Amino acid sequence: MESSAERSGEGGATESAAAESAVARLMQLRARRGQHVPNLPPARFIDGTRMPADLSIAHRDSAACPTLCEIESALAGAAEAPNLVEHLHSCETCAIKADEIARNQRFLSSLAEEDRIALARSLADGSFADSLPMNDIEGYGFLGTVYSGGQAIVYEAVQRSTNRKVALKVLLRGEFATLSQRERFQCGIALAATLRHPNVVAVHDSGETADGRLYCVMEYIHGQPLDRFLASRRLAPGSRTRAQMEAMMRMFAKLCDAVHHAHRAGVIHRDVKPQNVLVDEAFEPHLCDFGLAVRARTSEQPTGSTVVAGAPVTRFAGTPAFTPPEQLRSSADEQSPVEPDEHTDVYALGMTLYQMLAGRLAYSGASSVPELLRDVDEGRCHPPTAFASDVDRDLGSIAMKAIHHDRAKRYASAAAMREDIMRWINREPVTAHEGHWLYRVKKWSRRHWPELVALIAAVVALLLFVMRTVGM
Amino acid sequence: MEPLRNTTTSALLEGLRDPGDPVWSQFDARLRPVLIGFAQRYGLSASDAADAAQETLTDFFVHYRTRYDRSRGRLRTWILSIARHKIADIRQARAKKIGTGAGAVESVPPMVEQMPAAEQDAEDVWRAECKRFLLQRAMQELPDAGRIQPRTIRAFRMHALEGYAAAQVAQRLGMTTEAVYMAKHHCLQRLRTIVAELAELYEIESEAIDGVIG
Repeated sequence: MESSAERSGEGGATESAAAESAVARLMQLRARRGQHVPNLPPARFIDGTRMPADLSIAHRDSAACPTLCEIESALAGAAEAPNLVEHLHSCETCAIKADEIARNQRFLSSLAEEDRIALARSLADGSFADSLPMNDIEGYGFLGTVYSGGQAIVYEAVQRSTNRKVALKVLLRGEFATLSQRERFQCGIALAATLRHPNVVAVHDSGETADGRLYCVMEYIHGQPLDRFLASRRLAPGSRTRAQMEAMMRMFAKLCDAVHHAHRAGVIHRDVKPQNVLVDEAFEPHLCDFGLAVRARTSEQPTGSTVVAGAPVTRFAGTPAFTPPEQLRSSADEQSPVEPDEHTDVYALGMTLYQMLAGRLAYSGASSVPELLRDVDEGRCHPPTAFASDVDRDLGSIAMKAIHHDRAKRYASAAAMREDIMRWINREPVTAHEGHWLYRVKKWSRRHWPELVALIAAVVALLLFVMRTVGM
Repeated sequence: MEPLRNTTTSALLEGLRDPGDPVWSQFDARLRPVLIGFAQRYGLSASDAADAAQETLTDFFVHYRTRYDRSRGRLRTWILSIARHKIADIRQARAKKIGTGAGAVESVPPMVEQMPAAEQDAEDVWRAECKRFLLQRAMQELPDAGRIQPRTIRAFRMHALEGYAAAQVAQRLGMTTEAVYMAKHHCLQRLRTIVAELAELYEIESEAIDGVIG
């Protein structure tokens, strides 16, 4: 392993290498941009003692030496710095400094987003509050953090002009967010803003803070994610009454309606799951987080044409357990991509319904995406009735139809799924159950039992009357 | 600073005698956080992950003298295989329990959601956890190791880790912009040095800290 002394540039030879590497980096940048690349003589170095790394960062030989900011910008390609290459050849201190900065930047970029957040928290010494944007976003007062995730933080805030409470989502990393992260964030906002539905979280405003953080102002929902909501209401599998199941299904039907509304507006959500559905105290679901949403391909657009702004559709996006197998396979096979469409969200709705009914994921035994696909192919999925005694067969069939591995056999739309849910609520035969005629008779008789009893009574009375008449 | 901090993992292994001695504690302290993080990446809850780590360490201690042959493979490979079996056992037990309908919806482990994309990715997950552990350790040592002022660390945190613009941090902390850059690079240099030293001591393969030491 490379020693720290070597890394710091011990000895003239290493210093020389450090300078050459920083100079080479800048030369490459200039060449890439088509700028003049000076033919410089070999760098002039003073043989001598090792320069302490810390000093190399802080020290400036003269006013001609560039600042750390200038070196960093030049190395990142953000600044022209025409004289920097020449300067690094003549200034040993700056050459080492540039090399150290390059190493530091490489270190920083090697950190995953979650590592940065964890490290920031570990250094915050319990006072993470100064990480909040505070009054950075004009017109809003911050009340606290609602959710802190890997990509963004959601704050509870007040819009001062209207005095209404809002949810303020801020993309993490600010200027360090990658272009694709920023595009995806903006694309999600743009798509969600086109939707007006009581069960879709409304987008009020969006913008960028002075330090380059993208934000989005949304309707504030006083509620919980669907899975936590059900758990807190003791709606876990096994002990739910018919009335409770009907209430759950009415709520789920509204969710289907929200997804269908998005589809009609040409938006595919791609990340429907219990965590992205907020349920308020009135049992109303609110679909949120359109961060992975894409614009659906219209019939006018040829297959393979660009259909989305932001996330490329051929790359996997979403949560594996809620992503249909054709999408998972598509991510591995870039030659024949399967574009996300209504079936993608119908599958995710089915998985959400499955989890609501069974209290577990449909393929919970899989430990990786290949295993998940294998389980799907081998049909290793038991209906929800196998795990929860309070789920009836029809409801289980609806979930199983929605998560069918063959997308042609799923519901054609979220609206079709909603209709089947409503049929179940109304005790009508569901289309998901490909039953015998006896099934239909049974369903009819359960729904119309008073009429059936009256009919049987009438028939019996008629028979008795006929028998008595004939007998006499 | 922790006792035996400057002892390599191999030297610690040689000195392992019983679970009560400080060598074992040191070994445990180096491995347990990585094991817990690894198990959580496999969808286990915090308490289940702690159980998986405990069982892995116990199994390791019981068998390492008889079953671990250093000449036949790396220590990491062996520990990884124990950990994966323990995690699989716990997940299976949890799945059975939930299957009876006794568990609440909230208690269902995310399972597939947080899984690595393929079997061989377990090694990558392990390396990522090792890196995370080293970084956390290095962060803990940072203020003392470099006798760095709290304001410098704060500037580093806000600018380098949280993404605030240097000018904004400078304004908030009453520093010059150049001082913010200086704070950032000074702390990053110290961190890289500490991580490299720790990786050497803990005998963590260089690919785990690729990009860290430059």
